[in-house]
Amino acid sequence: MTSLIVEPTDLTPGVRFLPSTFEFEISGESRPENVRKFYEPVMEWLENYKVWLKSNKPGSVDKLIFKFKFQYFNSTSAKFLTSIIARLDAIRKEIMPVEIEWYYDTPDVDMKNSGEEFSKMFTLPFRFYSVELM
Amino acid sequence: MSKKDDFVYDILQVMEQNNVLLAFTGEFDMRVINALVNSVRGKLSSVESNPSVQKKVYNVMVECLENIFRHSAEAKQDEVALRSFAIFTLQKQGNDYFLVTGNYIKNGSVVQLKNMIDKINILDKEQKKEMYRQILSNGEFSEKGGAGLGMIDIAIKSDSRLQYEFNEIDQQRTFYVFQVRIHNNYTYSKN
Repeated sequence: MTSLIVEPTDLTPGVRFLPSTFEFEISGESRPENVRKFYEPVMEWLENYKVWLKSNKPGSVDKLIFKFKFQYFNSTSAKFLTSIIARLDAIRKEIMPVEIEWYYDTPDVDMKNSGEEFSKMFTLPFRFYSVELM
Repeated sequence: MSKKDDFVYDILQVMEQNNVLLAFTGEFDMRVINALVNSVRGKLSSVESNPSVQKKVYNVMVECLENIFRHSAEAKQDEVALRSFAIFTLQKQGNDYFLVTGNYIKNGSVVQLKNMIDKINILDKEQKKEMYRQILSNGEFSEKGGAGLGMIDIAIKSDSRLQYEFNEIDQQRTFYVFQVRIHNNYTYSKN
């Protein structure tokens, strides 16, 4: 399974999904000019990863941890993040445990709240981490 | 300075009297939005000591600017010759921040927009969050409209009543003014 690496820009987040080391992280700012165009490959990768996991269930880890470390995402991005989390929840239901680690800058109450809203929409576990200046 | 150029000084005075931190008029494209977003970061760090409030003003401002952008994108596509010329101001009054946007919309869009804001304004905090989650989880989605997602996002983050004014200009166009207030009552805690 190949990794998905997208370098961050001022408008789009960085994505590092590395199946070989089980590191999964999305971080930065998200207000892309074309939100669908940015997130579609990410969702497609997750679909493929799910299929791959079915026949290659990892023995070295008992759960997958996806780290979300956003500085800001606009409301349109929130819609696509919902779809991404839904795919992670599907992996949890069908294949193996998945957890989300939600990081936010300590003063950013909105980012914390957004994570809490997502966690209410899904059954997969969220852990929250307040960080000084990510 | 000739008499007809005096208006520039008048505008400046009005802005100073109203504690305008940032103002822009013109066409709102992505480049303009990025320039405004980048300049407000520096501005806020010099006028606002509470990092929670800084962040909140930033969060709400981006969504307000993207709202103007959506409206002006629609205006361009439309058969009605709307002007995509719009205005944005950020003011500080007392400790609170006011964000105001003004742009042209079709007369035919007024009722839907007004109903949406009215509907949001009668909701309490928990109901707003419920509506936000509901819009996020329903499948259909238009990239332009956002189905009220941007508006409910602004309402939740500002935690205040959304103000609006619709000024009918002629038989086709209305000038739509939207104002949101950000109360400066967040306490910064490290927990």
